[in-house]
Amino acid sequence: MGEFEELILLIVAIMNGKAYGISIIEELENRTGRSAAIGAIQTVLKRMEDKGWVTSDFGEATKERGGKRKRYYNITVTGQKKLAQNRETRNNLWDAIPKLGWNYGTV
Amino acid sequence: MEQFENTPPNWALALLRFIVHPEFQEEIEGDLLEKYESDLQKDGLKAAQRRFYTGLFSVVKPSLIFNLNHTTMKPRNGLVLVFIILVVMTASVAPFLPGFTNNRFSHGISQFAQNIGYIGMAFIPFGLIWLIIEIRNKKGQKLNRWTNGYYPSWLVIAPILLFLPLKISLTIIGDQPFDLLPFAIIISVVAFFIYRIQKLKGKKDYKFNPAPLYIVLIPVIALLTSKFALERAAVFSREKAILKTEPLIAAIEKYKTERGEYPEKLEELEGEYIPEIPRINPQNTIPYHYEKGKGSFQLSFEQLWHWNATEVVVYNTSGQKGIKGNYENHPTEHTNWWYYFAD
Repeated sequence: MGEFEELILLIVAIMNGKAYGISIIEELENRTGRSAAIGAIQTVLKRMEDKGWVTSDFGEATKERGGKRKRYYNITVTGQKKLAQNRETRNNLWDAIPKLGWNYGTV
Repeated sequence: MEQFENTPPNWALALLRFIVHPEFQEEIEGDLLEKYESDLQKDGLKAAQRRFYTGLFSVVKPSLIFNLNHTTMKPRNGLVLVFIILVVMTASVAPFLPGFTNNRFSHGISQFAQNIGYIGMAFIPFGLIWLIIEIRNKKGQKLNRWTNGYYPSWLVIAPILLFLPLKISLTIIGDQPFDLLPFAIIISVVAFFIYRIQKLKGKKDYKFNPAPLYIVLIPVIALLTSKFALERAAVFSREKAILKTEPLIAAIEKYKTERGEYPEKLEELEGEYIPEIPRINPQNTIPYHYEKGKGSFQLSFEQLWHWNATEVVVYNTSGQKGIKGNYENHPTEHTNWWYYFAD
């Protein structure tokens, strides 16, 4: 799983059923300060759907969307497992850093 | 359906609908419009339009245009395609493959492969249209005669059906040769498409049809192989055969200096002037043609690779730069050497 994929999957999990294209972009920007284009987000969402990490369903159509429906994304159990696995790998790597050779707070 | 007042330019929306695969159109268009509306309220028209165009540009991605991940092609069809492409490429360069002799047989195989490229070129535009229809079909969509490939099949078959009577008329009226090979290819393509059309008639559920992929890829590969592999192989082989003659030409000239005239046959040189007469091919089976003229001589050899001609490479000391009534001559980098293509 790439870093960007992991971020988007985390945002989808955080939004708990309310994640769709534009809302994911806004949430990503609010939480990480990173901006992303619609094309990039859509490509990642489609890829994750193919891998079975998220599922999607059409929601309501709104006026500001020109009458087009939203597509809501939800994290699946496979997606949750994948995130947990990634977290564990990172934690193990953090735990493996020797304490003496690590100066917290200094550069 | 209620629309909000300020929308992006119609051409931009039309372009968006054209670019994005039908399966993603609603959601992506909705996202872009929502963003446009929000940008319009916050930052004004110019910023909203600029960001809309950036968003539009960002969706130009193969996965969003073609939905390739959902294009279901049987693995068997992919393997057949790869196999055909490899056969066409190998057949095209057959005259210069190690172990093959540059003869009528390998030339015939190569001509066949090259003809696939030239004849197939006529079908590429139709193949492309069909391929776009095929790739942009949605899973589970109801098919009509355009989307199930029925009409596209006819688009491919129509030019062949028009070409066939024309070819026959030219043979009868114009006394032109009726080429068997292109005719055989045309007949097989027609037979294939009649079979496809029959099959597509009752097709109701969408499943990727690889026929247009064959129509587009095979001629393109055949042409590229001919241009970039076969022509280069021919140049390489010509150069090699020319360089091989250097000791032979030196021996002929030495013979002339010592005896006052050129030899009648190359065999007269063997032993005293040259240990062994070089031959054209690596297997040492094909001799160079030698001809004695008035105060000059000519060495030549043939290469069989061109799709409708024989390449004749000539060394001539009389200053002659062509054969009477023959085709355009091409110079080589070597003095007195040139080549031309003959029927």
